[in-house]
Formats: sequence, C-alpha cells, structure tokens
Amino acid sequence: MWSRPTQRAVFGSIATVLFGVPLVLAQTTAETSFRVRDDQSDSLIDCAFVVRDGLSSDESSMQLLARPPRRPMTVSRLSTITYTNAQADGIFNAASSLIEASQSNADASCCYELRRSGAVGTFTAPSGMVGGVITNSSESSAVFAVNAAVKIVSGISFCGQSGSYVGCADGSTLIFTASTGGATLAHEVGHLQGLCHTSTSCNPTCGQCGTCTCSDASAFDVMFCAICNGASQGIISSSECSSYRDGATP
Amino acid sequence: MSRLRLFAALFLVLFGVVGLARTGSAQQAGPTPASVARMTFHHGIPYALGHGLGPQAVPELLAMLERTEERPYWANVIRILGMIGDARAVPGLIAFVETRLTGEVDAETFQALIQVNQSLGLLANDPASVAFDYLSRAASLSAWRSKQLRWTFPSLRGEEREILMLKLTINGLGNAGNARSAARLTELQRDLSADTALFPYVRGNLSDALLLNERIQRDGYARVFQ
Repeated sequence: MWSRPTQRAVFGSIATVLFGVPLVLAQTTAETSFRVRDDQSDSLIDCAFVVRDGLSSDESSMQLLARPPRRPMTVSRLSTITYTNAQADGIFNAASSLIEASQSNADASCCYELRRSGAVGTFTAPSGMVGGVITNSSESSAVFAVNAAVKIVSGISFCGQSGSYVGCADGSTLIFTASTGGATLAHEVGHLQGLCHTSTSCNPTCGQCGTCTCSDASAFDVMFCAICNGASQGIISSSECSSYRDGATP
Repeated sequence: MSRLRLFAALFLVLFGVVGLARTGSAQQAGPTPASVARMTFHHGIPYALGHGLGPQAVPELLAMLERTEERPYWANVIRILGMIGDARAVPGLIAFVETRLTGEVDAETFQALIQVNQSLGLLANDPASVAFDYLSRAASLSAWRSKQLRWTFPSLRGEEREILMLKLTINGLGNAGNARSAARLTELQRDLSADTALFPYVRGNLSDALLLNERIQRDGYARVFQ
C-alpha cells in the first residue's frame, strides 16, 4: 500500500513510465495502459494515460508528467468554524488512498484521486441556524445551496429527518463536519457516481442499510453502509472503479 | 424391506441435518451493543439495528457513556439508547447534558451532546414517561437558561447554546410521536410566534417536528427511521 507522500513522488513530479505494451502503440494518441513504478516501494500501479505523438521509436523509456484521473472538489466552511486547507487535503488524501490501494485480490487498484479545488472558502450560517449545527430542513436546504462540492459545518442533527449523522448528501453535493473522515468521503463520492451499497447478508438498498453489521463479508468495502475497519476500509471492485473514473477529470 | 430401511435412514439424516442447522442458528450470537455503537454509519444508525439490540443492551451502553475512552462513540451510544426505548437510559442522558461536562468540549463530545434531546424524544413516546415530562418542561429558552449548563463549544456564541438546546428539544418532541407532544408543539408554535427575536430560530424546527410527529403516529418508528 502506498503512503501519500510516495504517491506524490510518483504523480506530482516527473515519473518513470515502464512500457507494458509495444512502443509503437505509445506513439498514437489513443489511451493505452502503462504501468507506473513507485520508486520508493518498487510496486507497480496500473493506470491508463493518454500518450501524445512525437516519441522517438527507438526509446525504451521516457520521462513524462503522469497524473491519474481525478475529481477536483471545492470546499467551503461555515465562517464561524475552523477548517484549513491542510485539513481538507487530509480527508481527500485519505479517501484517495482507500480507492487507489489494493488490499487483496478482490480489491481493484483504482487509479483515481479526489482533490481539493482552490482554497477552502467560507459561507455565513443561514437564517435561524446556531452553533454551526443543522437541525431542520430549511437549514439543511440552505447549506446545500452553498456553491461548493463539500460544505463543512459543526454538527448535523438533521439529514432528511432528525438523527445523528457524520455527513449528508443531496445527490450532487455533500455536507460534512470537520471530523468526517476519508472513508465517508470515498463512500459518498461513490453514491454521487451512481454506486449503491454493498453487502453479502443484509440486502441494503441504495438509500437504506437495514441491519448490516460488521460480521458481513462486505464490511470492508468502500460502499458498505458503515465503517468497520477504520482508515483501512477501502475495498472496491473493478466495475466500481469504472464508475468513480467516469466522473473524473482526465 | 431394504428400500424401506433406506428411506428411514434418509428421513433421519434429513431431519438430523435440519435440527443441527436450527441449533446452529439459535446459537449464532447477534451483534454486541459495543460492536454496533463503534461502527461509523455513513447515513445514520438504522432503527432496526439499534432497536434490535433490545433492553438487555442498556447497561452496557450506559457504561460506555461513562467511559471517556469511548468518547468517539458517545453520539452513537446516545442514539441507540433512544432507539431501544428503555426508560433506564433517561437519567444518564439528562445528566450527560446537564451536569456531567464542564468547560470547552471537543467535537466528538459536542456531537454526542446535540444528540441527547432528540434521543430523549424517542424515549418519550409514552406521554406519562419521565422523558416526555422533561422535554415538555425544557421547551422554552428560560428553561435552558435556568439549567446553567457548564459546557461550551467554540462555534457557540453568546446565548446560542441555549437556543440550540431549545431547537433540539423541539426536535425531541417531534420524535416523541404522540398526540400530547403534537399538542405541546402546536402550543409552542402559537406562543413563540409572538417572540420576534426567538421565533426565526425555532420556526423550522417546529414545523419539521410537527410533520415528523404526525408521521410517527401514523407509521411508527420502524417505518419512519428505516
């Protein structure tokens, strides 16, 4: 499994690409598969990159800037609470690690990243909301209307109905608290990409979770209804990976 | 005769297997209260799961609420105690808000604190219950002022803590889901509408709580909180 600094070393700088296909294919503009080597762990990650024309046909390796498909997301916080760019990056990095890393044969190594877009913005609390806590439908609607992909509040006591929530989604954007973790971000972005809940025993629907518990064989899936395995809960299938990547910016 | 013996043997084997399977499923342990409380539910705790833990889970959950190391799970513990609906949870929940905590609390504790009144609502379905009486009396700003709470949180300014607790008390009365709590909410809507300073803060809570109360009375908790 990669650490985040290691990934940045690969994707954030000029990376060495080892050709897994004949070089002649790399001279086209078609998307093709290459294997990118992490210099620190010497592990190989399958990613697809678009390679442009103009390569020398006798080169056996080349230098290029490699960047995996990503989903940039804007973030805005209530003006009365503290939430820094670094905190936002922490949750985006954690979510990306869960999606990218392969924990087992059943876990696709999904070349996909979630990233903060721009600096964390601010918004003022809607009328009637106090302490940064969403307690009713009008406050919830007003926060969802804020122009950002992820909105940060102090607490969520209402999400469709009163209750205790770590996050809330309206089908296109998300409301989180400052302590919401990367596993929830990865899960909710999965919903935004059309993914439903996974389980092997409790038959959840896309919107409901029934009586799923951590004894379920799918309990370590990103799209399981709850987090059972803390920061390591990152199993996704190949088809789920495709859904994530459908919403990516190449 | 030998064919008859064969059928008899098959019959015994079949019923033996069924019997063993039944015994096995009967011995399968359900989730423990702690294991459910320590899950992080992306979409909130399903009512069937929390309620299904049953009254026998209450002592263990109350013990978790006492232990500081369980702080990350306190919000879940409080929600589940409400879902179970056992009155033994009420004194511990009230003490958690009113006397247990002092000074600036962290985010995890704050998430738990803002859950208490709503959970008390789930425990107030019986209008003769202590929880219903508590919420009914706590449904005013002066009631929360008089409690002189000793905890605070960085995002709360001035009297926002008392206003927030009032809003959540109103949500709790919505969760109570009975005719008397509906009447109390209607009464509050009428009385507080004259308070032009306070009403904008609670108007949305009152209208949502009345709708939820009606749904619970009509459909029951299990259908409303799926």
